[in-house]
Amino acid sequence: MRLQDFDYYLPNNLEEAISIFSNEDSSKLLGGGTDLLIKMKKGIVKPVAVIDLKGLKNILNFISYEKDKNCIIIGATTSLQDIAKSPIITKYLPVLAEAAISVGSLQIRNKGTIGGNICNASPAADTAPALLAYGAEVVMYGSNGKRSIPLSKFFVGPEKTTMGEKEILTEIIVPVANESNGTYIKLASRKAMDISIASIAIIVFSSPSEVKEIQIALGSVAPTAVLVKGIQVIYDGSEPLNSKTIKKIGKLSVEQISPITDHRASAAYRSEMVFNLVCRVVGELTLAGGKKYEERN
Amino acid sequence: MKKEISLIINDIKHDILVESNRTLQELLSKQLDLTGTKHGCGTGDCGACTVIVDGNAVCSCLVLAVEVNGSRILTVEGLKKDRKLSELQQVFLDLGAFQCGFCTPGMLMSAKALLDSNSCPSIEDIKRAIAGNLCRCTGYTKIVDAIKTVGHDNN
Repeated sequence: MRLQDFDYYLPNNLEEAISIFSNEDSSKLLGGGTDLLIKMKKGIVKPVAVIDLKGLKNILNFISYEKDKNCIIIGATTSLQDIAKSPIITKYLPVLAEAAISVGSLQIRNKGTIGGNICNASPAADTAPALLAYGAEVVMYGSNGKRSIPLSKFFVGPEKTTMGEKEILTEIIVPVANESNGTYIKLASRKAMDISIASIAIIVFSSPSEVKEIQIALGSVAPTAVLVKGIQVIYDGSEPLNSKTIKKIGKLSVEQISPITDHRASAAYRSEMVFNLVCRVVGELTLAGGKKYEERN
Repeated sequence: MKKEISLIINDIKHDILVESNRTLQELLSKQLDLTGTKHGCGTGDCGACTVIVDGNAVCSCLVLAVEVNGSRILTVEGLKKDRKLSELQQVFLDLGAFQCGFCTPGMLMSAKALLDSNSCPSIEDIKRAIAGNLCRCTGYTKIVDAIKTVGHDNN
């Protein structure tokens, strides 16, 4: 599996990167390379030019906590391992840390980037459900300048996003979920090096005495990661949660997915697992006093 | 496209002209005769090509040689010191933590990366560290034991 020849660029600044990207018709951005190089080796993509974003690491490779805006900003080329082990992420966005560490292997996480995970837009991308549940926003730069959109408006289909063809994702802004508890479940055949059968990110926002809001996002069960809508209609925090309401939330989640049958699992199995896991995890995070879901192991 | 790169491999500085489409694995095993870094799957799944770049274990089949300009690389050949095997390698030998040996360089590099950051890892830490290294022969038990033994000796 030899790579075909290509021109390699290492721009020093964003303007240069955008300029090269806009001018080179068939070019690809290189973050960690854990998706791009595989696609190039298999001949799925054949870029004439590869633009390495490592030259921009001072503006693309960072994690910072903005106290006054109560949000975390993550540079697009931050590695998944850095995210998984970051004290800022584990403290303020623990579900994202759980999602990041579930990806691949250490070797893959040391190179793979969060920007790449999002921009490749696999329906199974692990960071997507966590970021959706946290209400993340993505910032992009192109020759028309800067724009930002909620991540919920970013994914449109398998490997399809609303990014312009010549835009570069630069950072992800995630509001800090004060007083919340949550988890990321990756249901897969293996404990590592696997693509999920179904993945679930659940965040429960609560005050010390009651559950206020629940956010649920699902992966691998639809053409894109799905942020479940309308949970507030079923449960608005005005009354205590009970198992009947939790089952309604589970049912609502299943209604919003469209899983496929493939070599990993059948559509029916995926739907059943989404229902079971949503009910179980919401239950554990709320009724069971915040006890986290124990993964099999 | 040819590019001039400068990097340190096993403490030796190299200034090399490489093609942009050369992977680090190809550079090491074909151009520099450091054949310990194996081509297994070529897609980052098997870990046979694992090396340590700037302290991080990575699959060299998914790294372009041009990407590591200015980096420090450690390959399996760099584990021994003054013609003497490292303790990690010796323990693998003593405990029989290999059969055909094809996965072994990758396993050693993942183990080395782990032990450099955690000198006394638990069984769980070890399993997580080698999760990206496949072995078809041993069933992994002796590999995990060998790494645990080195960790224990460090204690």
